[in-house]
Amino acid sequence: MSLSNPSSAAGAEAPLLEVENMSVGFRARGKPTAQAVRGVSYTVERGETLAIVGESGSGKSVSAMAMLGLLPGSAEITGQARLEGIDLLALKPKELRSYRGRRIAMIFQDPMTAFHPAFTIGNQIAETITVHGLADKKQAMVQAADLLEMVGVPEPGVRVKQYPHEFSGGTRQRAMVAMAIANKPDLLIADEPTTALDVTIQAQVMEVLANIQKEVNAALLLITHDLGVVASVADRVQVMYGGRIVERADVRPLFRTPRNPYTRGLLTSLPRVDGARDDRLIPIPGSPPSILAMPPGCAFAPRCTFRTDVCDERAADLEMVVEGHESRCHHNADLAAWQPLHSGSGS
Amino acid sequence: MVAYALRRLLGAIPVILVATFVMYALVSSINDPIAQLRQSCPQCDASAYQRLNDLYNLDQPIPQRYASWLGSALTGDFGVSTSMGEQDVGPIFWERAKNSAILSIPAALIVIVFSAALSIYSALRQYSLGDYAVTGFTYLGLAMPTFFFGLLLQVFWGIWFQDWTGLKPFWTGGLHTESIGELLSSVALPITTLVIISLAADTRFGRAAMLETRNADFIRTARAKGVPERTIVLKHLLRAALIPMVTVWAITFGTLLGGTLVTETVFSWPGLGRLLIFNGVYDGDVNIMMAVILFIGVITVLFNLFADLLYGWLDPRVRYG
Repeated sequence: MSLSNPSSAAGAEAPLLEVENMSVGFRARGKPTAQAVRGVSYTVERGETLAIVGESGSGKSVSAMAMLGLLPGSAEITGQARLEGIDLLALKPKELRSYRGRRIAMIFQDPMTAFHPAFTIGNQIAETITVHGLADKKQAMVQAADLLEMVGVPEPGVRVKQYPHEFSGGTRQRAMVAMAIANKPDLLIADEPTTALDVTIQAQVMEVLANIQKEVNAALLLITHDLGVVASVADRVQVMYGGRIVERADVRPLFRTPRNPYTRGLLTSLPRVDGARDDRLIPIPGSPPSILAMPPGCAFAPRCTFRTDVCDERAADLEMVVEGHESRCHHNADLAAWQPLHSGSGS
Repeated sequence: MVAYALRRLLGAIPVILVATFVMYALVSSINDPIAQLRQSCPQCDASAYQRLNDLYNLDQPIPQRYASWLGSALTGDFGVSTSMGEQDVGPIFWERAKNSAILSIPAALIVIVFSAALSIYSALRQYSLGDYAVTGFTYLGLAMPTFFFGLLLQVFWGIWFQDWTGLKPFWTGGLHTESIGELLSSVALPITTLVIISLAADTRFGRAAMLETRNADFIRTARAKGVPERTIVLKHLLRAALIPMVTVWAITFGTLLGGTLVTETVFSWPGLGRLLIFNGVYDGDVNIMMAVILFIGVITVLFNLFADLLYGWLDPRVRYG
């Protein structure tokens, strides 16, 4: 997997997607507004893979769904999400619809429930094409079979006529990938694409997804909590916690020299194949904050071993610690001297 | 699927045989035409008893009487009525079945269309004023007894409305077939009663089915593909929510066709429900009762089968085996 940074290679060209200061809150009667995403900004370059990592409730899925207008009406979205300069959040629903499935396509977590049970797979893939007026029904069905072939589904001519329940989990997720790339979108958003699959199938599906992404030259926004998947396919990674981005870097520096205490906690809590047998896993104490009652300062402070009074008072800014590596922590300066991860620090 | 339907139809035969035999045994055990004659005609002589005996095979045990009843019923002969002057039951029954169908078929069709429409509306606008109105109506419809709603309609159209306007647009009872206008005017209130009662139950069920489907992952997938909202509702949502609703509709249809005693009674409607209860049960008329019971049994079996076939047609996951 290439680890080059496309953002530097792209040079003067504007990024494909610019998300600027996006916040998402959910209103509920008699309750405080739940702040799921709090001022998130990032860019996605053409063709690159940006992973958004975080635990459940960190706001990673919500920030992607907000862009496509897939959140319920109770969601309050502010900020901008510009695809080639056009702010998706300011578009009318009808205009946004022409982007969905055509310029931006989504791959969902659970292939078992993401397909309509009463329509054939081919029908559902073809619908993605016909709904945007890109082909008539007959042509679209032919394309659907071609797409299934592209993602490595054997006997595509037969399988297009089958229903979702006749597909296995992995094949269904491949079909989901085929459906997503049907219109050669510029941006693929994969929301936990492998979480619902067997481990052995996960790697296959990720490989298909990564290959197909190259083939159609789409950018991939990979939302996941699976750091193994991130390490194998992502170019850049941003870590989210409590609705904010807490660290962002190219994939290798992020895994080698994580700067943020949360990222570091995340990595030391994972087993490593090359680690010593007696290395102990270090869990992060406590649990993530409720989005209904966010701490006023740093969201991670209550669980953080580096916490000082300033952490409880206000949240830190996302600062550049070294070129291309940003971290949101009041103690960035002190933590710079951290030893690289897993060189004896764990025992 | 044809083989499955045939197998199910064959399987229905023993069901109907057992059901009718049990009913025949019960009904014959508690209704004794000889005792009835003794009470209604104390001066009758032995020849009258003999004639009754010849007509109904009363000297034979119940299984034999059932067998001969079944034999003639299969040829369309349902025997003669004891309570209605030894008339053939067949023509009486078919006349009443037709009268019931005049009410029940339009009522069932209206229920299907309106419960689908109200369910969609209610589920898409959950917790809106309109949804509360629909939900309130369904509670009212479920809670209000049929006879009360029927009487309310009669009082309103027959008395209050007439007092205000001097007009009486609808018959408040009876079947009037002199002209199409009269017929429509006489079915309006009973059909309204039947519709309100069944619609309430079916709409509650439909709303729940729609709500569940509305939040399904595949609806979100369709939206993410760029499918227009209208198509999502009419194609994706409706198709999936129809699957559980079909069963409920089939039950509604079957129940209405089998006669609706309370509504028929309130509106003096000469239908199957009243035939069964007043002419059958009250007058102890075994052949009348058995004709209606057989009909209800067959209708129930057929509509269940129909629902199952429809279910498999709508949901590809259902396989007939």
